[in-house]
Amino acid sequence: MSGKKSFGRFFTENAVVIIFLIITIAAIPPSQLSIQYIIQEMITRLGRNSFLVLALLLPIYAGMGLNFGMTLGAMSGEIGLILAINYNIAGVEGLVFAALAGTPISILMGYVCGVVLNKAKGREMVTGYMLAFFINGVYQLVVLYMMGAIFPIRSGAILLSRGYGIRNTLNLENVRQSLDELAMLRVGGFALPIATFLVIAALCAFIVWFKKTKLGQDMRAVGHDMAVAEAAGVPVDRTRVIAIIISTVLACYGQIIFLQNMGNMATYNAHDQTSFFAVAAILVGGASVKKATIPNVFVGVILLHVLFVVTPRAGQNLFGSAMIGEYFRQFIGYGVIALSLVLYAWRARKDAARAREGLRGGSANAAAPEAPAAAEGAAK
Amino acid sequence: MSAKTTDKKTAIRRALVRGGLIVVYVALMALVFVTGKGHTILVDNKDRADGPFAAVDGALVSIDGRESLELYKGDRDMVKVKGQKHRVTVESVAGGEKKEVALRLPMDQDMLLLSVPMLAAGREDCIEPFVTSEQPREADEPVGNVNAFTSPDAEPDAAPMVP
Repeated sequence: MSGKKSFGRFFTENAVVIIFLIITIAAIPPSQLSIQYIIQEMITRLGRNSFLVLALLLPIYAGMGLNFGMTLGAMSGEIGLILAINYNIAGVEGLVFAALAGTPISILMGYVCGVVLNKAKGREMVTGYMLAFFINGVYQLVVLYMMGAIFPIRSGAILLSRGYGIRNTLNLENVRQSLDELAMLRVGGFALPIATFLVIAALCAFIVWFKKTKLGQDMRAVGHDMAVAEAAGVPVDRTRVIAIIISTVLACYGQIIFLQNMGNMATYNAHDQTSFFAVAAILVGGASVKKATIPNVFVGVILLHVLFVVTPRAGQNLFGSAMIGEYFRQFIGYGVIALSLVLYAWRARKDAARAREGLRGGSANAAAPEAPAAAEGAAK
Repeated sequence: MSAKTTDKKTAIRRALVRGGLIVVYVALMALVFVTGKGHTILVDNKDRADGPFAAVDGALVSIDGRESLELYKGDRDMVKVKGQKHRVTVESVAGGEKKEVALRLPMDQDMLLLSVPMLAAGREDCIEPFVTSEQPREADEPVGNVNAFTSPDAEPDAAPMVP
């Protein structure tokens, strides 16, 4: 009975990862892709996407859920890249220039986002999502009408023929894969972008270090219980704003890394699904709205992208249409987010019920590990 | 020492540190701007109309020690470089003396023309800005984030970027 219960508990806690793993493994054989190809794709996509997904961690530590507002940072990074292309700055210097130009914009965006999210405590995710739509409108206004008209653009190659506004697609030839190619290691038929991985490792080290700092501890305290943190003298609102600012700046850098790997930029669409895929990846990795770790990021990126790589080919081979796989990607992305949010809500209700049961003197053993603590807290 | 004086000192120190950080930030931006500034060099092996410089029949031109370009009479090739200071070497395909010229590219010019005959003559003014004549441009594709769902009459969305 106990074994059955613990299995059930393990399944509900890791349902998203398990379901995803099953679908992924099932999709590999019909895709007829070689393992070598899939591994190489995963190496490339780990370098391309991990930084963006890591940007989601700090707001989760601060109890602000999944930061859909990271799109604001992505837009800042794109503006930085537009400027780098405009001034014809090539190579890694172009990326650094884009990051330096995007940083103040992303700090401002992060501050705005943080202040707005503080006004919508408890509804941060949907507010961040809607805020991203609003700022997208501002971004379009700036890029489509102000660039060239108000902000000088000297490169005719990126300007629309009417004299203002940026073209729909930008060729990032000058900075294409400049970070990846900076230190490319070729081992056993695989190409490893060492420089990109070092940047990602540095961010992981920063996150680990940051969690141990006073500010990091404050964030975790705010994430656990805002009222208790406030009573303990932690400036809750300020800490939350800082978490969002850091996340937005990291998203700015993450988008630059993502786009340098892609080699071109859809000026008006590139950021549309940035937060969506990053959130899907971290959830697939086993994270929840309240809890996430660095391993969740890498497991999630690998699992989500294996599925992204194999499903179009599996769809082509099984149904004669690669579009089936494309629809499947969208379906999976949204499905994972919905499933994990539903599971999170369900689990929270179940834990609360267990805690209540524990208070009434019911079987406390069956309660979740955190339930006795919650019950204790409630009793106090 | 009063608390007021200490506060003032702290505020001054804080302002200095912040000012210093801003200066470092701007300096770093200027540094990557200068060192990363890209230029396109058109290596041109044609007769010069403005002087006694005839095209070289078979020249090997190398910029910053890169792989040499093999250019015959009337050939033109393109090289992309970063930064302003470069060293260009030229030698005949048949062998002979190798000439090296140090170039300093103007920061505000994206495209420059390097004349191989002048380079072979050891002239330092062998590089000049290349100005393209205004070409009629193709009509732009629809721009912006058009959305057929919220605006049914709008153009369909461009395909979203696959991560």
